[in-house]
Amino acid sequence: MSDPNEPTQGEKGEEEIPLGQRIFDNPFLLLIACIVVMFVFYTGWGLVELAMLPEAPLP
Amino acid sequence: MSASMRTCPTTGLKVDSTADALIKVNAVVATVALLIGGVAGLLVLLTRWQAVHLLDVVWFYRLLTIHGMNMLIFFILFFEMAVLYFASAVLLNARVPAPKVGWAAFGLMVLGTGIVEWTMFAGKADVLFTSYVPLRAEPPYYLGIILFAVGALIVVGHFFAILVVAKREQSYTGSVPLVTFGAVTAAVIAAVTLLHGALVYIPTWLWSMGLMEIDPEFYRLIWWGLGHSSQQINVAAMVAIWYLLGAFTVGGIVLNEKISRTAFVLYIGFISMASAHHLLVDPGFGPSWKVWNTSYFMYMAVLASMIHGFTVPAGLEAGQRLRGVTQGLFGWLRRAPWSDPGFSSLVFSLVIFGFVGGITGVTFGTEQINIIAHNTLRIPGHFHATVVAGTALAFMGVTYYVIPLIFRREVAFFKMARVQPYFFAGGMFVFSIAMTFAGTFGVPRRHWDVTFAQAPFQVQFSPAVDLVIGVMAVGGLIGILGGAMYIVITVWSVFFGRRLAPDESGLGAERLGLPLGIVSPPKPLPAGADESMLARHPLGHVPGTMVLVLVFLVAFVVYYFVNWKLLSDVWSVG
Ligand code: HEM
Ligand SMILES: [Cu+2]
Repeated sequence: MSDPNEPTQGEKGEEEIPLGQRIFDNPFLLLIACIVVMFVFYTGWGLVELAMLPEAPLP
Repeated sequence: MSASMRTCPTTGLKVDSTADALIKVNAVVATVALLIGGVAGLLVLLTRWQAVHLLDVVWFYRLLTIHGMNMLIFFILFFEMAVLYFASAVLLNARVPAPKVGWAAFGLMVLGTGIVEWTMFAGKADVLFTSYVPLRAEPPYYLGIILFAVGALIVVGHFFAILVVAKREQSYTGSVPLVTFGAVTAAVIAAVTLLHGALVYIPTWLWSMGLMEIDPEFYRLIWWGLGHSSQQINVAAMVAIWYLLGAFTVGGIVLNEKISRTAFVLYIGFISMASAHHLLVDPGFGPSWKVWNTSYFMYMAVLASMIHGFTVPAGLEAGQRLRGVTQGLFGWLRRAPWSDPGFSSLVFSLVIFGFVGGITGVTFGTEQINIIAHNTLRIPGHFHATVVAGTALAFMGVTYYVIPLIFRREVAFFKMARVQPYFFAGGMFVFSIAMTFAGTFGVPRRHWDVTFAQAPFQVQFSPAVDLVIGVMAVGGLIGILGGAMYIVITVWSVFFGRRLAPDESGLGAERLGLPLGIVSPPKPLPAGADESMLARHPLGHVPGTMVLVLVFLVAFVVYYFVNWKLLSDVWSVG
């Protein structure tokens, strides 16, 4: 239970910070995750779909 | 530490003077864009209202372009730049490491905006904000957007730099506050958005000068990587502001940091791919790609919104129950500060975003149902509930706190400020629902004349459409009135409002002009308060919120089902 405008401490002062919290505390890790998911599933896969489209049989 | 820090007498936070100034200028430019976009919106509305049909065809599309760009891009993004500086430098007591870079980025954004405005008003860019190739604007239009985007990308980089410096200089300890975490989410998504922006606008600029070819389907794929993802910056920023306003107005708490943060991370992971829902009727992509990107994985992001939709009101309810407001299921709502525009904005933003925007969005984003919603008025009906009644209203609500805390002025015309969110939210609620209805009858979006007067073919809509569009127009006009009130209040406050003395905290102020959360802030929680102190009710610790959430789920199921039914009527078998 905490205030959304205040930094949060680990449960008790000096305790080891849990792995999940360490990951969440690293914005650059989150940034990489975001870029990878987007570029693999949406952008990359989408481009592959376009590259594999057959030519239109129109004149 | 930078020499020029002031200490805020209300919050005790140290505010860097560059952050202070950058927040102000970004907010001011955002308001100018809102004004331009609002006037354009009024004229567009009066044209879509077939009974008035004000503009000629050229100016309809020109002003629709101007409305889309000014509202969705300039107003929202300039405001978000202010949010990024606030959530980093101000909330973390941190200094802005590169003031010159901050100003250069702002300058680039303003320059880009100016160029785009000029091309649009001069009729050099009647391409709507999507500028689908092969519609061609003149080259400066694309260049303006590129400059604007580069500026925004620099601000995002600067935001991360502020985080790094704050951590290194230990201006805070532990993990960043949840509101800042929401801003981190927005900034991360902004980076992905702007990457797609570069990938699409640079080639398109070259194409506009005849230097290369662009495939229209390629354009749509990459453009929506930008166009949709940018909406998710808005969602993340809006949710961060919900938490912020909740704490300011009624002492809302975060029930569980882990859950709220995980929900933000789900946005980071899974929300951008939903860009594919704009391409559900495009022939270039197969069903696997479409379904993967708009359901299965993307539903993790929907889950995230539903988590915030629960935790925000639950935090409001728990915060008040812990402070002794325990009457019945909804005592915490009845006794809430409804005359604080920060609070009313928060609640209306949350409710309309969830009930109208969220439910319609998930439904229209379903591959099968999309075919009956695509390019109808249902789509702008949906996003005026999300980005207007949701995001824009949340931004308006927080402005009533930004004026005293950052601009150090009283809010002018405070009685009007109290009712402003009611006009804006009420109007946009009616407007977006009526617009969605009109779309359900098949009325197209972005259409100058739905009577098809000079068209070689005739389409007869249900006679109900005239009525529904009339209701939409009335709702829109009320919303515009609310928007105009906001502009009058903010402009007057910022330029002519009474200045607050440097040590004036506003606590207990007798004069009208400061929101309740500043005059009589929520009293601190008793030491060691946690949910075990909440009375146990058959519906849990936050029974009122549980009831609201159940109503929401029922509405969701009903709307989703009705749409499958509508879809099944499209093909009558046998
Ligand atoms: C009370 C204020 C507003 C009114 C009455 C209004 C009205 C309208 C109308 C009538 C349309 C045309 C729909 C069509 O023909 O397809 C439209 C489109 C649009 N509006 Fe608004 N609007 C308002 C505020 C906003 C705000 C604050 C935003 C963004 C933050 C926004 C974003 C858009 C966008 C992106 C479009 C689509 C443009 C396009 O299709 O190219 N509007 N609006
Ligand atoms: Cu979208």
